[in-house]
Amino acid sequence: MLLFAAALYPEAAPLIDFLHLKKDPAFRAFDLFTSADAALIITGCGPANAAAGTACLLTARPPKSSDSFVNFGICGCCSRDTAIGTPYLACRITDAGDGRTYYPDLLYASPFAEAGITSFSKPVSNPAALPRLPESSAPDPGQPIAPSGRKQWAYGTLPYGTLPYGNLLFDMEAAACYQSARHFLMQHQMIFCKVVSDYGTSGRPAPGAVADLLKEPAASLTAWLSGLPAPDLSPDPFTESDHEAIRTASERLKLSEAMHAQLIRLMTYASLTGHSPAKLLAFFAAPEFTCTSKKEGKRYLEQLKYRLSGQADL
Amino acid sequence: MNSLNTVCPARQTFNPPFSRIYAEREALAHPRAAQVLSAFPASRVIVIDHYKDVFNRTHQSFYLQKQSQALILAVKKGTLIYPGAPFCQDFGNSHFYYTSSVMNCIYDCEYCYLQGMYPSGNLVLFLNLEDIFGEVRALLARHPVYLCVSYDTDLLALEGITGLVRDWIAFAGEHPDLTLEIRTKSAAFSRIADLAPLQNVILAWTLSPEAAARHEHRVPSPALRLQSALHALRAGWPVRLCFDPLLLLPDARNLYRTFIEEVFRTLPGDQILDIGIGPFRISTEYLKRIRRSRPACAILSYPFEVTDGSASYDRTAMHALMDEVCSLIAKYVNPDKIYRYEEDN
Repeated sequence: MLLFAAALYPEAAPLIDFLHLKKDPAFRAFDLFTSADAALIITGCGPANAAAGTACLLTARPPKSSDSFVNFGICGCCSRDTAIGTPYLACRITDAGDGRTYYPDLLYASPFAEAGITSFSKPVSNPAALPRLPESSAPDPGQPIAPSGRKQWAYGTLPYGTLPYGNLLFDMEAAACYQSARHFLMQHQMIFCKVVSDYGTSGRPAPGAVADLLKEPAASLTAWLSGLPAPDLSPDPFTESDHEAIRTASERLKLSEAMHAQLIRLMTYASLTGHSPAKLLAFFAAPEFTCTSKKEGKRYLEQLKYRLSGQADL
Repeated sequence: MNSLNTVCPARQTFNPPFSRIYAEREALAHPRAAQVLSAFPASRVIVIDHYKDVFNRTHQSFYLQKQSQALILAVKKGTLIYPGAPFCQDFGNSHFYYTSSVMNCIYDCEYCYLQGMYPSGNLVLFLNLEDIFGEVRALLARHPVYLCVSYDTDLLALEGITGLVRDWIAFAGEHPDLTLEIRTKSAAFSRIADLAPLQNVILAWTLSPEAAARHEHRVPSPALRLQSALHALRAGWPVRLCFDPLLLLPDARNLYRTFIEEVFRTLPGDQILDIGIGPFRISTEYLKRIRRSRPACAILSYPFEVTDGSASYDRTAMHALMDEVCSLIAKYVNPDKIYRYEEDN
């Protein structure tokens, strides 16, 4: 499942179009657009809306370990050397409010450039006046560090130290989306894709222009996301009949919660070492099998453990 | 045995290892930073304030990060040398210490305790080795020191990037009262083959039979490790062999018997400094975390015995395997040189 958060409808429009999302009329707090394998929420502008919308989306669609969350939209850029319409993935997100910086994992190879982004609570009208990072204890980041002469630490076209807050980009939502989403997702599941729409001095583009500007980046983004792996980090080691056998054995052996957990651990080991939990537990499902107490059940559990730990033939 | 790798995406979908280098601003000012960065001209450097801002984040997937490991350059503060942990063998040395100039390893062993110890699969390289040297000098002023420098990492495997092994060897050359153990699963002896051997620097190879090595991802094969150990031995270095952890795999006794015969067909047993043998053991807290991270790993799903916060194989079964391994090794190596880890150490 792909889960998107965009601040405004024009930012969401290309994604809604590409992914054939339909508005969910039953969803009241925010505008939510969904399909079988994607959901998109329009949060509204600013950090409070972004955090609330993100939390609302991730509560309504609780993410699995194979899902991805994407905050998509426009951003400002501190450098006029960067073309309008350039998409970036954020590798560094600074909240201008408290100065904290966050680092989403970027594990998967992507077609996008990467940059740092600073999130403000109100629109930036004069990026030149934004505070620079204190550099007193650091080397001059404008000077090459690597012998090759490459300015490796530069984001985009400008060296880190010359950028406000060390970041090339600025917006109003990324930091809030991150802070909200991290309660629901692993670091590698959060993606922040921002497209340069202005340099902070000329105001935001008109809604129609935003949708046009984001069309191509949205197409690249959806193409990339569709090719991303969806690793299942909690694979189920059991078949349906294994599950049934475990349930039955647990009931008939009168296992406590802790003993039931122990049985699951044992059967996980059995399954991963090529044994069939359903076959191993078939004995306990037989009509003639009786177990009269939890104490007796515990003894059977110990016998299973003894057999599975390699001390007796299975 | 199965492993989580069956559900892992193909490696090529990930960014290459160390394509992201997070660097503390203070670390960038360190002279060693230039040397390390020069090994990665195509990598992106992301400036950070403190390594914990990246390494200690919540909700990291140790397992997936291992597929696209980031390098974090940092300056180590606070305690730099630690007393030897009870889970580790001292090989009869008093004043046993260890230090970690690197946190984490480039290899990906399914049973590795680091997965439970660290919140992140990324690799932290502390650049200020000179501060660690200072602390070792202070200890040496009081007594001889036995120091393991490659416990929470594999320094020799990283030698091409860090050069730390060379620096440690040079330091040990100036301090005869210091005995260093450099433990590795690498086949990278060639990285230091030009150095003159020192009798107070022990190169220790962790060896595993092929069936166990299948659970050690990206690690050189047992045969390559043996060849590397052989080269070190021929060059005159003290070489230690560690059969640790012993894994109770199916048909374990036969696996280890065949493997030990292979080991001593390659290495002259009478020239080995000593041997360490230890069962798989791990803190229950670490095991809990690793099982969450690698839920489909058969080795970790084993129904371990839990005693005093430590999980290990059934004591009787493991003792039988350790007895067997000890007696097999004793055919080739003086039994006095065999150090066996006991649970009640």
